[in-house]
Amino acid sequence: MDVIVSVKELVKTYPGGTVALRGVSLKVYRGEVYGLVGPNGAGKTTAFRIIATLLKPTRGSVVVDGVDVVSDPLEARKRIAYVPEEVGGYRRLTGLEYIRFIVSSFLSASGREELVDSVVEEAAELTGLSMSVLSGKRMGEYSKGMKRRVQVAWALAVKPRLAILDEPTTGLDVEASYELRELIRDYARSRGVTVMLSSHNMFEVETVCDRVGLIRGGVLMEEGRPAEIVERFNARSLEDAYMRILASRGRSSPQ
Amino acid sequence: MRLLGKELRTLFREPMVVLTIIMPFIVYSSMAPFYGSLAEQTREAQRLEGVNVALSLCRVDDATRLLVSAMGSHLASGGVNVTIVDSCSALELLRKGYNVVLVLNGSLMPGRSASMAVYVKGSLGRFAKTLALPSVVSGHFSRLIAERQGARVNTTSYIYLNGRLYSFPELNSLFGSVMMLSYSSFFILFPAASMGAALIGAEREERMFEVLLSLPIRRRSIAFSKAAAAVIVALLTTASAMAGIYVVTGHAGIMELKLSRYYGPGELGLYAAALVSEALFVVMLAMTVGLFATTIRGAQSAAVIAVLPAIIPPMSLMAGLPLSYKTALLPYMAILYTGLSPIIGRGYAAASTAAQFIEALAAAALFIKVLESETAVTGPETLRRLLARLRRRR
Repeated sequence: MDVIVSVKELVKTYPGGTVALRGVSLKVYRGEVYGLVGPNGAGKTTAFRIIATLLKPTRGSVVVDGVDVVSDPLEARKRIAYVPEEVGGYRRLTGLEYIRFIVSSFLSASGREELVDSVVEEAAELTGLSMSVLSGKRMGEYSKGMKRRVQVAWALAVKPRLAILDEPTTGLDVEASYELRELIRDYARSRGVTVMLSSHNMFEVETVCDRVGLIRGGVLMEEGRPAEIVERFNARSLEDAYMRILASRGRSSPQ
Repeated sequence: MRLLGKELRTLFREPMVVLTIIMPFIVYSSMAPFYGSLAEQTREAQRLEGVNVALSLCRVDDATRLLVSAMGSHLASGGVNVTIVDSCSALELLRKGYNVVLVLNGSLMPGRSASMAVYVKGSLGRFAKTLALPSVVSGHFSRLIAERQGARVNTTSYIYLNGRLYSFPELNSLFGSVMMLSYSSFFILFPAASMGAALIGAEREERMFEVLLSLPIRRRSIAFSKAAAAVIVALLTTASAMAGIYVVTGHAGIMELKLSRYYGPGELGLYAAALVSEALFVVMLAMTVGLFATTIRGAQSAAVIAVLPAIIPPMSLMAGLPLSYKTALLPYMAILYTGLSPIIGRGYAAASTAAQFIEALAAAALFIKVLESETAVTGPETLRRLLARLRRRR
């Protein structure tokens, strides 16, 4: 299988001394949905920000689709669609204007301008929002769930080599979370888009992700298919397995 | 009372409210050096101290000559250096070192008529004094003539400045235009700072900055697109303010503004370039400051406070500008020098504008550098940590 993301011995220490990542190594393969699971402050967002070229690692390397994200960030960005946690939207733009701006910025950088119209159309469809809402209302009027759907839709529709979705369902109601999970799973699998997502929700990663990495205190504690991890720890669910891992390695954070 | 306390706390914890309270004080006090200099120069002109006056009596009768000699002695007793000369060439006398030349024609005897031309050697560094001197000098002489019940005197005034002779109304009108154009430096500062900061603050407030930075767009494209948008809005705001002033001064007859008479396409082009370069400079600084704020208002407040003090030196120079390349190359000076270009020529204006563009590009390079660094993502957090460390130290 092709490796799309290769993270090696990733260490990140912020100015002030906070260590967010302590030698994380992982690989994500083409077309898979990889879930990074852990509590707040585990290092998920820091890892994603480094992969998305927004932060620089203190040590270690990240290669996305053969491109080193530190030495050639612009080239790496052509391959990555990143949707941060708690992302909003330009409140003065309509959903459609926003999608067009993002899609055209993304595609023109990789010389695919001719696809802009069709990708915008596809992204608009993926949002599940009516055209009257998408083109008639500004994003400032959208609910959190609608905004999140718009963000995830463009990130998938541009068919990047890697889509990074940082806690895509946090703060959403049950229905919106369900719809977003369905969208990610179905679209990624049908179009072969590689996705890395993070979540606190074990049920979510168990149903959406092909493989998961359990991270805590900047250390990747366990990695594998959800069913494998459950079996490995003789647990009832991924959540149960996670609690057993914590119990076996001590509950206190490495920090 | 509890509710009032809550409302006041809410307001006073909002940076924009605090800024709204202190801004008028900052703005008006920043104008103090300008008005102070104006007042000081006008007082200097009133005292006629250190002024060398030449009384040119080339075409007057003997009686008038005697009268003028008496008036000259009167002035000299008041500390003014007065010399009576026979030369009729005012310009030649000014070039010889006299600050003021009075050319009298006709007879000052009762029932007769005479004309008095006041020539003043002007100085850009003492512009307010230059404009005040003609009326002070002619006022003195008219009063002395009136005391002696002399002739009716028709007075005209000229100012010799930078190698050119201007009639007083012409230079006064030109100075009005210069002042108006110079004020645009002040008008463009706030919208430029505010718009630049708002564009960055909005990215954070709308939680879109990380998405923008993760797109395959060069940082310099982000910087210059945002700057161009902010500069366009700032220019429109300034144009609106200037048009308003033009209408007010025109209607009220406060100043006779004849821009097209003094400013050719070259001067106006330089002036436009000076405006754009100042706006670009301020926008880049404001955007850099804005990277450390989490909200639009926070970014705007910080940016306005950061760029405001810089306007004070040029404001203080408006009453008299030194013709020095050292001064011309400083930020915020280009508009003043381009405003004065009908008097001083285009050399200083072009140098000043070019320097300001270079300064704007340096500010852009700084902004792009910060945008490329982690600070673009962690700016507010970095600032918070820095402030916490400072607090701990204290």
